[in-house]
Amino acid sequence: MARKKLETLTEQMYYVLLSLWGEPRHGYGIMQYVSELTRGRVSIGAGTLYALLGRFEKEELIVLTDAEEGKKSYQLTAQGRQVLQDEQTRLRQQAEDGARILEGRMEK
Amino acid sequence: MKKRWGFFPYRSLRYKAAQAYLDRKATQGWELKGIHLGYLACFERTKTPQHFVDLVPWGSPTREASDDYLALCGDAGWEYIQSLRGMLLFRAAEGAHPVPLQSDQEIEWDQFWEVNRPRLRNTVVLLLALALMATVLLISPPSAWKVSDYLMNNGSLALLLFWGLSLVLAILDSRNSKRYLARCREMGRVEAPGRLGILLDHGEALQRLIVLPLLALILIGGLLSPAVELRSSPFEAESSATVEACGAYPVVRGYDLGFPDTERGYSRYLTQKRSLLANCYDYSELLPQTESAGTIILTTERYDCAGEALAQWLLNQRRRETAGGAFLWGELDWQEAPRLGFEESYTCQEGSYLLVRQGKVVALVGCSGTDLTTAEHLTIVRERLGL
Repeated sequence: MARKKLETLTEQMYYVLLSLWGEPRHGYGIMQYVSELTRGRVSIGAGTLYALLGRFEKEELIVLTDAEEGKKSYQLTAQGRQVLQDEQTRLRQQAEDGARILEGRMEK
Repeated sequence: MKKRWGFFPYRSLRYKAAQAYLDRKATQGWELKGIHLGYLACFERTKTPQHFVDLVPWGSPTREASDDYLALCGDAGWEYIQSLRGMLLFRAAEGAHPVPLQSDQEIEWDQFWEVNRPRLRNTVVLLLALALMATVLLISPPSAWKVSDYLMNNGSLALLLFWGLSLVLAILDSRNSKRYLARCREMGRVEAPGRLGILLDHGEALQRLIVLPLLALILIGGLLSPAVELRSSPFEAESSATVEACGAYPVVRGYDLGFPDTERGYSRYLTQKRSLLANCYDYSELLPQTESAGTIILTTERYDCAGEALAQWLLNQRRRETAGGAFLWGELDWQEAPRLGFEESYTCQEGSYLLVRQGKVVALVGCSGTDLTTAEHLTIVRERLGL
């Protein structure tokens, strides 16, 4: 089922937004960047990326900056940055919660 | 280059079945080159072939959007083959080992649901419309309908069969699609479709590939060389020499009943229709006017049915159809007349009309103003109709 207003991000959503944090990128550039960033652990399919870019643009998390030679480039909007930061906070808290349990740091 | 052909009946709702089929072919070393005539897949031998079947991306029906998407796929190492029934078919570019086009099951499911939800709704609307039409026709059939006419025509039978088959497929498909979508929704991803669904895709494809052309052939055949032997004469003396020809057929002529030989000046009409279910003769003749009865209309319908049960049904059908009124006859209020000596027999209008069944033969004979139930006339009728 569709996520409402992108309250949480899937791993692939997260990395697509992350790839646009610094500079605008076009579709294939995003795929390459994510693969390099994760050392090949995360690969984004073109179909998935296309769908995500469409959805992010609709939700105004990214904006089209350039469309040269049929290649569209996107960059994050302020709203997109906020969503990514919120997700980062959520993931950090999640990781910390996990660490407290798994590394025995939680008081019994 | 060695080629191999395969059957590709899949529709977008079950595109995972299409993917599974192409994956099987790829493991055997066959790469898809294209789909011909909508259903025939052509493969060629290639090293390590790889395919991907995707849906046409939702919300992007424009040419520009398609170009964007295909360009992105191309950059990613996927070579576009063609689009087919809402699916996009890709193969890996030579030497490339690209990442599958869909790498997030949740996103893929969203796309699948967006594409197929309206399709499912359309199917339900279609089924409701068909059900409504069928109900209306059953409750109040058009008065001009003569069901027997449809059964005596191979084209009509083929059409009936086609529509019946289409309806059954549509109903099964609708039920199966609903269940499949519910299962996918529950799992939150696009599941592999069940066997029935795949069979339904095969059924629909076969229907289009075989039944439709066959139906067209039957209809064209029926139009070009009708199984109808026509002996017809309009109201022109010079073309009314068909009375003798009509004598060769099992119909009752005015001449047989003792009316003056009407070789000239009157209209006569004979058709023969053949179908898988019956052989039917339909004869009409206008006899000279008399003071008491005016113009006399003589009619014979004779049906040689494929079976006795069909003959029984047809007799009752014609009884119902003519009771409400028929062309030139008025309403025929049939009364059972077992004394006439046929297996089933009805008569009306003081014996002017006879409707009888003997074995697999049904006959309707009418001659306004003449009592056909007299012993003399019944003998003639039996003799002429071969009953």
